[in-house]
This record gives sequence, structure tokens and C-alpha cells, in this order.
Amino acid sequence: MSDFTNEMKSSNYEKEITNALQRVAEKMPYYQEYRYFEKIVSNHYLSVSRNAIPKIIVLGSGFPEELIVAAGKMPYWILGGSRESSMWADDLVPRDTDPVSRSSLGYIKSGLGKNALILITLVNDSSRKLAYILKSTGHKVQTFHFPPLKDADSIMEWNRQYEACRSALAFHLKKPITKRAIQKAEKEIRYAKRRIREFLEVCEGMIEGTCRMFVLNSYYCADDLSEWSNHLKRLTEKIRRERKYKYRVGVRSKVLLLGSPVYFPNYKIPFLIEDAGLTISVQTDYTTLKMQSGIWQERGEETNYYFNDTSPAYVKNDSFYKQVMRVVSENAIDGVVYHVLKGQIEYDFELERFENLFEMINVPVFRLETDYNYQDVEQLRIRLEAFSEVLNQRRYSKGELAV
Amino acid sequence: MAGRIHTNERQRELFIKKSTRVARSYLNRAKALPGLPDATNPFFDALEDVYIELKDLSEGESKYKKSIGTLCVMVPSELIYAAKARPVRLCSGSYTAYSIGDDYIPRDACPLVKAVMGFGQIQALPAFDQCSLIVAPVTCDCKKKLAGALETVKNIVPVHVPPLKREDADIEIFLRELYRLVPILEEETGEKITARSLAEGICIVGKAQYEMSRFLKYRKHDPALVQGTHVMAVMNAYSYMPAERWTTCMHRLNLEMESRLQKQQFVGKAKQPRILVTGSPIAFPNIKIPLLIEEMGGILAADETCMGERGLYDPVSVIDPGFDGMMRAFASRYTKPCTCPVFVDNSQRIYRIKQMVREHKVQGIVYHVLRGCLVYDYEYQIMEEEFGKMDIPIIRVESDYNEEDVEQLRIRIEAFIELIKLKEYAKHKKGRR
Repeated sequence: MSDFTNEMKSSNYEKEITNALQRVAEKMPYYQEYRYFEKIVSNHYLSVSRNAIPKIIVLGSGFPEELIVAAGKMPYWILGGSRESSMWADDLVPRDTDPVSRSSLGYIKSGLGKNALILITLVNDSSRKLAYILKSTGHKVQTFHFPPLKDADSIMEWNRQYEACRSALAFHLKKPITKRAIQKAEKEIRYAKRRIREFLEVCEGMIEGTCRMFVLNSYYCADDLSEWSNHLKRLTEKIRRERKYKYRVGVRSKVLLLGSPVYFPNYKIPFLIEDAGLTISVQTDYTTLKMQSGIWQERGEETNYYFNDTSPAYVKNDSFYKQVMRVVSENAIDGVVYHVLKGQIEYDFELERFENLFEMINVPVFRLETDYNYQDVEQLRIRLEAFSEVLNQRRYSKGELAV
Repeated sequence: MAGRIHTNERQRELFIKKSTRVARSYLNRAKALPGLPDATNPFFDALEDVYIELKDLSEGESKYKKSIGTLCVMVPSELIYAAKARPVRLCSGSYTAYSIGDDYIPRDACPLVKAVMGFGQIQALPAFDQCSLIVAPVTCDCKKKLAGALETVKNIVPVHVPPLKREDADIEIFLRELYRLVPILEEETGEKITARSLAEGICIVGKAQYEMSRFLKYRKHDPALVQGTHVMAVMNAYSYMPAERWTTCMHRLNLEMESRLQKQQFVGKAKQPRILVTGSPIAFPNIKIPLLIEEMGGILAADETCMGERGLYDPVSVIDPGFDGMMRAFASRYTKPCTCPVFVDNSQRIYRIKQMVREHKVQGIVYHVLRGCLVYDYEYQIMEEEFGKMDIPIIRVESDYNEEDVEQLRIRIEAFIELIKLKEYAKHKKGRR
């Protein structure tokens, strides 16, 4: 590929990142404590076009990260949210591949995965085939698959893979990963998760859903987890202080964002939801739930962890269903936006069950299917505005809003 | 997930009418191809019994206590025979069931999964309804979620298939799953699975594999002794016939092939383009791809699909004749040689197809992708590269369970066959110079 094409690609990519950063910043109240998160997200994403060479790359958010933190590193997470990077992989994958897998492959093919050990969680067809493509093109790949049935054998299998990944990481980094180091890493991650839960408790009514998502997303951009946790603590304290006199009860209808996870910089859907006059009261997807859940190797907690895992990689995702029921009971929501990224068929399979659940509690569900392109924005905007109207009408009729 | 739909008699009648009409039309088209061996009649009859006559499969098969449905070739049928039950492969190509399943399964799911769901909902196919249990290997995303969705209408046992198969530990996962299956089958049939019954099961399927291997020798013959569409019908019939009966019929077919060979009675011409079909399963009645190839003047010389040769080409190899030894042999046989693209590393599929191209003297490859069957679609690119190097033309045809795309497919396949002919002509001309 010519230098000119490469330059064009990287300039389009940078534009995509900076635009998304700018739009999120416009929504965020001016807090000094927030700047850190902006900085790390910007550094993380823009490092792609600045020839960063990470040592460990993780595809997907399901990987037991304590193994990497124990090795004294933070993994370079590739969550696959970029439209531009998904276009870099257009020629390598079938037409119907989901945009997350496309984008992830695009990142690696841009040169990011040259010397790295790539850790892939095998949760769906695309992740399996991505692992094959990367292996066959000479990349170092270590897979971690989620057994689709939750039983004692699966836990055994999970443990075996955990040890295999530990050995692969130690071999790659030329450094043993000791039990003590893992315990220390677990402590660090648990601390971060506590900070996340505290943050989520104080955000409501103070910052918009997109900004909350952005701060949570920055977890996957941090080079130093302790530093990130401390910054989040500071931001939480700031919001808590402000809350005393700035908290306002929203007049907008509150929605639960469910389904395919939304990753930065593809904030098309949250932006549209908020532009349509709705508030993302809470988002419940695998990545967000995992950020708040426990850690695999907490002694005696393996079974609990596994049985509560909410990945769509299972035949029956009862734990996800239960988590959604909990979220619904704890938050007063007016409607549900069920987000399906094209090609992520598992989420579409689960929709019917959720439709039945929300029908029982009389909450309207709005399914939208999209990818990372912008061609459908106006159509989605009209549909979301109509949904917003429906929710407002329902609130008027219930007497929650003044006529 | 919603339970079974409540259909009235009228809806069922309409479904049956439409479904049998499509099956009959494909069966007649297949039979109308020249050179139909007389010995293939029982196989066609079996398909007719299932899809047109809607017959009770247990009639005259009292030795089997139950019918156990399977949703993939990765379920060891030996294990089911050992439990004195008969396996019925439920992967279907029914267009009518597909349109019923379409209401219950997401739009982008593969048609095969929709057809299975459709039969689960409509209760109009005795072969499906008679299965007291369905063993569903969790292979691709659609089958994984289908196992969860079908739970409301059928007794389902999902079986975890490891995504890797290189190490012993990977095979151990599948072995554990097979051991989990044993008491479930025993409870279902009331028969104890013993080392002896396992050995009997291996013998039953082994004989079928032996006849299949004999048949493959005839299939390799150039000019062809038998049309590929007829072979696809024979292979599809294996899903619904007890293995012993299938083996007996196959033996007769082999005798007829031998006699044809001796009489030099070929169905193919000397320069007829020899084509291999690979990719998504070709399940009856959706046999439009093989039919189009042969109606357009090609000969379907080989197939690398799970409803075709793949299901029967490797026998179980038992080293230790004890119970555990045989179970290990199943775990190994049903994963290691399997060229299904659900495995992370599936490079052996390329070797297998290359081997088939050589042995069957294949001149072109039709790569069949069912809409939504992503795993096969992923492997197309590498196939294109590999066979490009060998100068073997390959064409990707994407299809669905309906007849709307038939004419478009016909034009593309016809052009592909013309291309092979021209290529061979040019090669021949160059050789003469």
C-alpha cells in the first residue's frame, strides 16, 4: 500500500477519534477531574496511527485480565469500535461479519499486532475465524473459549484454559506469573471495580449517559490501573460534592440501553438517543456488567463467577436475563432500546425473551439494528424521535409529566 | 422464547400441501436426470416417505426403541445404536418449514436452523415429531442459540464441541460430553449401553462406511458412472434410514456400479466438466445446486459437505476395545478428521479438498454458502487463494431456502461450466501444438 493511502487512512481515523472525543466533551460538565479520562482515551486510540507496538493485545472484554496485570503490564485492549478500522479489514472478512470483529481485525492488520501476543476470547463464530486468520498470517495467538454450557465440566475447562493462558503469557513476557502476583493484580482490579460501582451510583442525574459510557470505556485505555482507579475516585467525589446542589430530576424519558455493547468511538447510538430527547438511564451489556462483576480466581468464587457470567456465548443466557431483571427493578425506566449490531446474531436470538419480559411489566421495547456506517443515521433519528414521543405520551397519560 | 405455535387444521393442511409439492418437484427433477441407477430407488423412496408420504419412520422397525434426533454429523450414531435407538438427522432443507421458522428465529440466521425451528413449531413432519430427544452439538452461533430456542418445544441435549482439536485436552472435552450423553440415552431408551452394545454400534455404522468407501471408488471414475445429484439423494437418505437398511441398499448400488463399469455404461461424457461442491450443507429438498450443475451440463464428481461424504468417510478406529477405549475412539473420530469450519484451525479442510480434487479429477469448485452461514463464508477467501494457485476455477454461490434465486444461480453456474469447458479446450489446443 502506498504511503499516501496509509496517510489518508490514518488521517480519517484520527478525525473519527477526535470528532467523537469532541462530541463527548461537549456533553460533559467542565470538571478538571474529567480531563485525565479524555487524555488516556485519546492517547490509546491515537497511538494506533503513531506506530504503537504493544506487547499484549486482548480482543474482547471477557479475558481474565488479572493474568496480564499480574505480569506487570496493562493489556492493549481492542474492543473494536472504530468505523475506519473496520474498513481496513473489509477485504479480509465476509460481507456479513459484525463490525466489532471487522474493526478488531483492522486494528491488528494496521501493524499493531506485529510483535504482540494476541489473546482472543472465543465467544462467537467470528472470533474463532479471526483467530484462524491471525494465526495463519503469522501472528502469535492464544485463545480462551467460553464453554457454552454452564456445568462443573465447563468450570474445569475454564480453569485449564486459565492455566494455559498463564503459561503462554509467562513464555511471551519471559517472566513467571506467580500466585502472589495474581493475588496482587486481583486486589488492584477489585479496587477498580469498587470505584466503578461508586461512580455509577453518583452519576445519575449529574452527567449524561454517553459521558458515563465514555468514562467506563476509558478503563480499557488505561496504562496504569491504580492511577485510573484513583482518578475515577476523584471524579466520583467531585460529582458527589456537586450533587448536593446541582442534582436535578430529569424530565426526559429514561431508557435502558440493552443488547450489543457500544464501544468508543462508535457512539452513534447513544448520541442519537440523547439527541432524540431521551436519557440513557442505564446500559446493560456484557462489557458494562463485567466491569462491575467479580473476578474469576477469587478463592471459592469460581462457580459463582462462571454461573453469573452474562456473555451471549452460552446456549441459555439466564444470568444475563436475571441481571437485566435486577437492573429494571432497581431503576425506574420508561423504555428499552435494544441495540443489535449487524452480524451479532446472538443478541437477536435473545430479543424475544426480553420482549416478553418487558411486555409483562408494560415497558415498550425498541429494537434497532445498525452497523458503524452513517447512512442509516437519519432513519434511526426519525425512529428514535417517534419512540421518544411514545414514551412521553405514556408518561403524560400516567400523569408523570404535566400537560 | 415462545412455545409452540397453535396451528389450526387448515394451516397444517396448507403447510403439508406446499411442503410436499416442493419435495415432490425436487425429487422428480432429480429422478429425471439421465442414468438413474435402479438401486437408488430405495433411497428415493426413503426421502419420499419422509417428505411426501409423511410416513411414520418407526413402521416395521420394531428393533429400535426410540428415534433420537441429531442436528449435526458430530453426534456419534454408534452411541445411539448402542442404546437400541435409531438416529435421525434433522438438518433439513425444507423451504416451507423455513418460512415458518422465519417468524421465530432472527432474520439473519441461517435457513437450515430456521427450517429445523419451523418443523419444531408446526408438528407436521412425523420424522421430526417422533424423535423423543434431540442431540444438538453446539457448533456455530446459530445452532448454539437454536438449542436454547428449541428447548420449549422439544427435549434437547446440547453437546459442547471444543473449538480446538489439536491437543488431547481438547478431545477430552468432547469425551466428557459423550460420557454425559450415555446416561441420558440410557434413560430415554431404558437400555444399558455396554462395551458390547458399543461394539455392535460400531459394526453397524462401520459396514455403512465400508460400502460408502467402495462406492467412492466408483464415484471417482471418469467418465462418471453416476450423477452427483443422485449421490446427494443417497447420502441424504442416510439421515432417515436405519444404517443396516441403508448399507444393504448401498451394497446393491455398488453391484450395479460394478456392472455399469464392466459394461462401460457411463452417465457422463468424456469431456464433461467435473465439479466439486463444498460449503454449507445441502439438505433435501434443497438440492437446487447439484441439480443446476448437472442440468447445465456439468457432472457433480465429488462433494465436501456434511450432508454428503463427510459424514461417512472415516471409520471409528478402536485401539482399546474396552468401553472407555471405544468412547475415546468416538471422541477422536467425530472431531479430529472433521473438516467443519467451526473449528479455529481448519487447514485440514484445504488438504482434504485438494486430495478430492486430485482423486476425483475435479476441474472446478462450486463453493456453496447458505445465507447467514458465516463460518463457511470466512473460509472462502483462503480456498480461492489455494485453488487459484492450482489453476482450479472456484465460484461462490450464496443461496437461501427459496426458489427466487434459481434463475440467477442457473446463469452463474452455466457461465462457470462454460468457463471450464473453454479452459479445457484451450489446454487441449495448447497440448496439440
